[in-house]
Amino acid sequence: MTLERNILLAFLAGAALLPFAVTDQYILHLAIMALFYAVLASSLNLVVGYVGEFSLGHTAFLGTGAYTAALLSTQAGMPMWVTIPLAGLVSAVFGFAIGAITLRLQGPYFVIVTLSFAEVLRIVANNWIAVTNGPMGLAGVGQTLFGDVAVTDKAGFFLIVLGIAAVALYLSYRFVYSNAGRAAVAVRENRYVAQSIGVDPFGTAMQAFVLGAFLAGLAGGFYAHYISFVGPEVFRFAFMATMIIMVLLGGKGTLIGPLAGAVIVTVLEEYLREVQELRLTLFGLIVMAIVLFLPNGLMGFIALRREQQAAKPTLNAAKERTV
Amino acid sequence: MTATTERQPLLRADDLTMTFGGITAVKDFSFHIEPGEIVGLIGPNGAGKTTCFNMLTGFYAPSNGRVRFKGQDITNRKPHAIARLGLVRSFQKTNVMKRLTVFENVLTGHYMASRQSLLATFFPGEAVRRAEREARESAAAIVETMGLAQRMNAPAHLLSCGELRLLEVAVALAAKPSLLMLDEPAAGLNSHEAGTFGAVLKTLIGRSIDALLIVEHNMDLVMSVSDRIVVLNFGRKLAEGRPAEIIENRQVAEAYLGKAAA
Amino acid sequence: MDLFPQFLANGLVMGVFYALSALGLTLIFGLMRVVNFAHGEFYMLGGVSGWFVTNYLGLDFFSGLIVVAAFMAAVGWLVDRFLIERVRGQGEEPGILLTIGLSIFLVNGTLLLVGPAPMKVAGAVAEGPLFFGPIAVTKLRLLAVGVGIALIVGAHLLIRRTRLGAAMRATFQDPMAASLAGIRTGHVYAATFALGCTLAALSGMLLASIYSAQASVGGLISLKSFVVVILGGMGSFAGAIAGGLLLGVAEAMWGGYVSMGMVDVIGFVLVILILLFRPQGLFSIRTERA
Repeated sequence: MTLERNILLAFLAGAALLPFAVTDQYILHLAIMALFYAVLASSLNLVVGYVGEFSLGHTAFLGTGAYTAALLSTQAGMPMWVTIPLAGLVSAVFGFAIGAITLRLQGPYFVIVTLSFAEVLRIVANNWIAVTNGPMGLAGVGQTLFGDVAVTDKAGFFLIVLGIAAVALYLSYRFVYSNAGRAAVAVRENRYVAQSIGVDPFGTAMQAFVLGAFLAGLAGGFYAHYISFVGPEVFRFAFMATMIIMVLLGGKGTLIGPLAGAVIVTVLEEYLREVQELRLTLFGLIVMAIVLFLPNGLMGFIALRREQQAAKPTLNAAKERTV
Repeated sequence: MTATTERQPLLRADDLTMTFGGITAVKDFSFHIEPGEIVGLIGPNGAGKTTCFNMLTGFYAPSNGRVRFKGQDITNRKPHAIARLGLVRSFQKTNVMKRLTVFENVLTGHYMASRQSLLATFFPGEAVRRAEREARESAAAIVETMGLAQRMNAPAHLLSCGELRLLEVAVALAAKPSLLMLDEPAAGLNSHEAGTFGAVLKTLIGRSIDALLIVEHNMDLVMSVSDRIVVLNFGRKLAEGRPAEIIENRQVAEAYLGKAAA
Repeated sequence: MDLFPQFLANGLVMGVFYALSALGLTLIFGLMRVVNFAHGEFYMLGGVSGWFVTNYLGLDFFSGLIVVAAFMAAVGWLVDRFLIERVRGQGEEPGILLTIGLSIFLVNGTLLLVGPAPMKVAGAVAEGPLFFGPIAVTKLRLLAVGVGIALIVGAHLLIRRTRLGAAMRATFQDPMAASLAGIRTGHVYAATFALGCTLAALSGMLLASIYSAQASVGGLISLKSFVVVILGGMGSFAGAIAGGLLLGVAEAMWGGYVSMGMVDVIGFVLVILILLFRPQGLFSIRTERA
């Protein structure tokens, strides 16, 4: 707990120094994308790792946030300090509505219905031309932060996404290490025990789900301003695949895992940028390899090693007792 | 009105009936538990004991009948809502959170004591910190009471069978129940372990819990801890009485051993 | 002119292919309990390999169909033995993740090899339309539907009338008892998976002879197949067929009378409604056991 907190703080502090140490625009862009993905992966992790159900529809919240910010900016000329929080809130409302339906389901049904919701939103974004401008998307999303202050360089965007990441990690940390977070883990580990100690599985899952939607919405809002364009692609499965691999590789159910996964995969993606298909082909293989050989991701692997070290004497004691 | 509420038992079930697609698992089962009592619920395999547990705790909705707990009608309430009233149960198959440590399991059991608003979750104040501290102290104390202090930080999946049973009870106790219901808590224990376990259970009454309902196949254990025993057979109540009376009961012997032996 | 009969006919034609693909998935998902998110990719591979054998190897349609069936059965067998086998009995989640990985791999591997362009499988007959009263159906469609129906009947006979089918039924009733009775359950699982994979692939090849195959079509097909399986009730043969036809007709009507662009929404809305109100499927009479 304390170790995890200290690592997160060190990570954020180190990241805050980056724009002062690095002026290379390309590296700053990479760092921005890594943090953007870190928020996204952390938000998915709240659902996958703490609700314990696998959502394939998380792009619904990314997309909702992105469209919300883009519309508020292009239609009403609102600045970022308004649009990004609102993007999170609108996504949270969507999360509540979608969660009210999907969280009654488990296993494959949950997966299929969450995916269905993301697909429905993508099709709507593609066809509701009056609002979303259809496949053309919404271009020219503004770059005003507040008042007359506009964000003009990568360093500025970096600081904004760092702020969002700090919020995301703070909220996730508070949630995971609270009574509510423990309740969510109880539901994930054993639904019956959870109920017998007074945990409402549906309500608890809803909290994690809505928080995840809120954070994904913030990320989406940021994305809209940074790229300054939003199209139906934000609902595409490619984003989903990237998020999944980040969470799985880093280790679901930990806070550092998705962060590490986001950094590693963003760098990996950059190396393979020229060849999108090859990159995703490799991602597919990596996902399969993780499931077969590293089911709890990198963090799970490290934790297991530490646990084995720590438990060695007690393991023997346990053996003696059962014999 | 006041006179009747004063004399109300802690738990009272009337005419509980459960049918699964035409098969009647439990039929017109009525019983009650008084404060301070340890009640044993016994019967041959398939007699409907676990079904009763599930109806009393809201995991099944009874086809007929009513359950009252502390004077409130709790029939058809959700399991977590019933638990929040102080009726907490364990499960027949080993049921703990296997990947968490012993301490984490018991700490998680304190869920109800440390419930807080979403705002307090994200911006914890002094009250939340105090509740958290108290939950941790209480969890450590319960682990101690159940004799698991040495295994405090061991993941549950590394525990022995006997230790797991103790942990299950510890998790249930962490929820600070008024009535604790244990479903075969001694399954898989040897006779020495069962004896120790029974002694621990007796110390709980009046100190940690008001009453205990226990389903168990280990007759020595049930007979030694129970104040009163209820016998179920084919989903119906066959007998009820003090342990000594039940041992003498011909019908009970028949149900367990068959007609010839009795 | 009233277009209703024409929409109905179009819907039924599509429905046959949905049913065929869903039959494959009902074996894998309904019986084996593998939540196969790569199902649509098997369908897609059927279309792409059909295009390859008819255009590059110059086989005629029917020989091509047999080659594709054999090839995809082998693919299915290998996937089960080398991937699914390793997570069998570990609950649903590893299977879900594994097949998501497989799906990502297969789509992009195919894109890498053949690119995103549509690929037309050479048909067995000419394109000319036939008229039945107010309904026009091309000969090609009629033939593909005929082959599709023949395949459905064939799969039914395989499961009901052969030793393999008996072994399958025994294994899915009670794997432990089946293996004690001397059935090599590992082979039965692999054979079932291979059969499911082949049915999806042939559906893909037949449809690619009418329209065309595309590497990226799989995700949508996977979802629609799940929709049909859930609609028809898990593991139900008749349910998958009824569900397939229903989805085909519903889409044709929606596309004809309401909006062409939003056709694909139908399936998703249907599945959301079904799971909310009748999670055991539309046609299943089995009551839920506690």
